[in-house]
Amino acid sequence: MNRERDFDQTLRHWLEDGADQAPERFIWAALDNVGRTAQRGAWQASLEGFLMKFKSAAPYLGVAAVIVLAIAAYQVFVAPNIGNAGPSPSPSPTPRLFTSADLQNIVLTGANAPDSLTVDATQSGAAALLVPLRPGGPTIDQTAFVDALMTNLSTTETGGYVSWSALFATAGDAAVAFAFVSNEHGSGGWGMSRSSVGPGLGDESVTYTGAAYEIFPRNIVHIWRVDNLVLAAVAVGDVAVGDANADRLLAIAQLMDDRAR
Amino acid sequence: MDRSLVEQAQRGDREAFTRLAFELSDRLFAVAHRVLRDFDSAGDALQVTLLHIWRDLPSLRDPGLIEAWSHRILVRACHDQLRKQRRQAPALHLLAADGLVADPAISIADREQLDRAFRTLTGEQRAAIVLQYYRDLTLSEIAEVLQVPIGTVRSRLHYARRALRSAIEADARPTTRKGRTA
Repeated sequence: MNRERDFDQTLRHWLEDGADQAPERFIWAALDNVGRTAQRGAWQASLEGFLMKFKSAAPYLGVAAVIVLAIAAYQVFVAPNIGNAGPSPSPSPTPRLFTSADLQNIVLTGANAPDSLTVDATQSGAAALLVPLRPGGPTIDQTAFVDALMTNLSTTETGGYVSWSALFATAGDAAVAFAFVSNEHGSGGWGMSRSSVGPGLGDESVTYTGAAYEIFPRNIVHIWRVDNLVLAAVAVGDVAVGDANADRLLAIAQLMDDRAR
Repeated sequence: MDRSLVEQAQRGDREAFTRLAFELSDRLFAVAHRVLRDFDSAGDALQVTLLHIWRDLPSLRDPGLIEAWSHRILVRACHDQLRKQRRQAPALHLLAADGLVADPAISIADREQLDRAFRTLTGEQRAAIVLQYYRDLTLSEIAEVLQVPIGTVRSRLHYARRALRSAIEADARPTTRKGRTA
């Protein structure tokens, strides 16, 4: 035991030899590069991270992907029509305030997502709020921000989906945030095209299509507001070519909207 | 670490990131220097790490985890530097442990043996040793930084310790081969 202790002690002493301060020239050289480098959006980073893992596992996932797609098609297009008893009840006319706990039930998470969707990554709090916004763009007012939750869903090499929601103190605050997030996707921000027909979700809603998030060339984003919640459902990738397609995205958005009512 | 500083930097505030970089750099450089045993390589690893931290900061979910997260990036950068070092091995072997200040508590012979044995370790083993014996991280903290199971950390530490220890013990044994110095 003494020899063990002596060895540990020797190792500690030996490791104490060395620099304890970083020379400023190295830090300033790095900061010089930082000044010329844009931050990556969180969607881009998390998707790229997942894609790296996906690439290494791709040979094993081929067969699984076919099965998952078949189940997905069944769940999204066939299963919702089974046992449909009629129109859903009208939303309550009384404004209500969602809480942080509601986000877990509205955003598609590992606990509540349909079996046809896999949850690849989850993000919460202020970091999740900032995910759809351009790095270096105008700053969203967080005074009335309460919480946010985001998940990456069924990400593949050709695309994937995002379920996102941010909670604000009042419906008025959420309306301001909705306008901000919407504008950030349009000509004032990512430069996506706003569809003349929105998805008809929540109290107000918009749909954008086009390149964004510095990842895939074709994306669809539905953004809407329900009381003090701002929600978004996103399909990124080669929409209608890869796994991410418009119909499936709308099914995801409607599922989130139903849960928020 | 000031959480709000991390959050400001996450939102693209370059001034906040400059302050954050100066707060993190000493600790990161100290680890890199010990893993790489080379001053300039440690500087290169630090620069790469700071740039990656800036670029990927928006994807950090919990600003409170900035230390572990930045060390994870640093270890990857050190790994890349080690690969470069190995490609340039003949030149680097001529260099002493650049910038290291000798601790009088260890004999010169032990220090040389440790240096030599440490250089034979893999990047992962070096990182595990430095994080445990220099940064005093627990096994689970090291596992978090290296993104491997605790069992893997244990195994890396075991093999690294064995290599380092046998280097010292071999040095303590009488000379058995002609020309070898004790």
